[in-house]
Amino acid sequence: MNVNEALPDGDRAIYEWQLDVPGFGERGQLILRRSTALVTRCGGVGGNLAFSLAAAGFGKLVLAHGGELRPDDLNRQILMRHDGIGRPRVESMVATLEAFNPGVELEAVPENATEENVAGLVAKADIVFSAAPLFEERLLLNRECVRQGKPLIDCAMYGVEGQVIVVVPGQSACLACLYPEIPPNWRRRFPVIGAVAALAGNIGAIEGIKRLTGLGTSAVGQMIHFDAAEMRFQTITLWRNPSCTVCGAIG
Amino acid sequence: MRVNVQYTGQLALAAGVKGEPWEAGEDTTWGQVVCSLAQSRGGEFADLLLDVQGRPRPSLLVVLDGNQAAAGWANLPVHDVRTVLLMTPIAGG
Repeated sequence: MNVNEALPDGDRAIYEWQLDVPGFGERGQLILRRSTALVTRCGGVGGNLAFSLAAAGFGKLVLAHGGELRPDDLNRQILMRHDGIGRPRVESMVATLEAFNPGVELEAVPENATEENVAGLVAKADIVFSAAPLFEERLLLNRECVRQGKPLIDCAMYGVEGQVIVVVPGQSACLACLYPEIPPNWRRRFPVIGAVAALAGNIGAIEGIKRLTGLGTSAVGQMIHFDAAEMRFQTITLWRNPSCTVCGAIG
Repeated sequence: MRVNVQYTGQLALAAGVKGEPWEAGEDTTWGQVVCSLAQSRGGEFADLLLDVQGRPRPSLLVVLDGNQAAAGWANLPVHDVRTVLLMTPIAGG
């Protein structure tokens, strides 16, 4: 990064309160301004996450989420709106984020991550945030991030619990080190309180900001797990699996 | 010895509790503990812990006193560990 580059005055006016954060400052803001994040999907976890990335001033967000908005999305999917029911979710996502921060470039992809599109999606981003409700998608994004050497922030929740895993290919355990197969008992429908999803998403957002800017200490190689019912947090160090079929041969 | 067993996610829901004490001999292995726990409740709880061959599922994350158990954990004896956290995968988004 060119350290002599000045932050535009328009950015300074919007972000001046976070420029005061020790260890972040103008340098951190410029890094975010030049960064592109992929968020997939943008529901309860990913929508809150994307909102916080937009607030932080990422230069560009690539938002991947397929399907049409349903009434039962609205207890948690904060980027959506009631008048968007029955319409593509990406429409509500883009409208909300454009109104909130028009300084962030948005690219909406009305698809979930698939074998066909995942390489192209990951290639667009400096960092990837995964918040998909299916392990097929999560493990696909993990595999592609490892292949392209991109950092991955995997965020998940269940009921009153949440977890965030920071993956840096070659340095830390990847998702496949933990889950070498698609868990057969995972159900697409899961219990969810929106505030818990928001908490998981925002922990993911701050870990991504830290990873890019060097703020604080990254939780790379760790799982941050919380139980909101007891408001208990713990950080678990994760080991790489030397026989991992995704990352075992690198690093 | 008495071990404090904790559950998360689907496992806690299937158990109906987030944790319970469990008595195990010091030479008992963690694999045997997981099998005993599965047999104590059966049903969905057991299915989350064990595969059809009765082995701990590869995606079961075992955390011993705050640290992820290394590969081969199922053969390790329980001695000197006070708390085991059993975590089944979650993907709620």
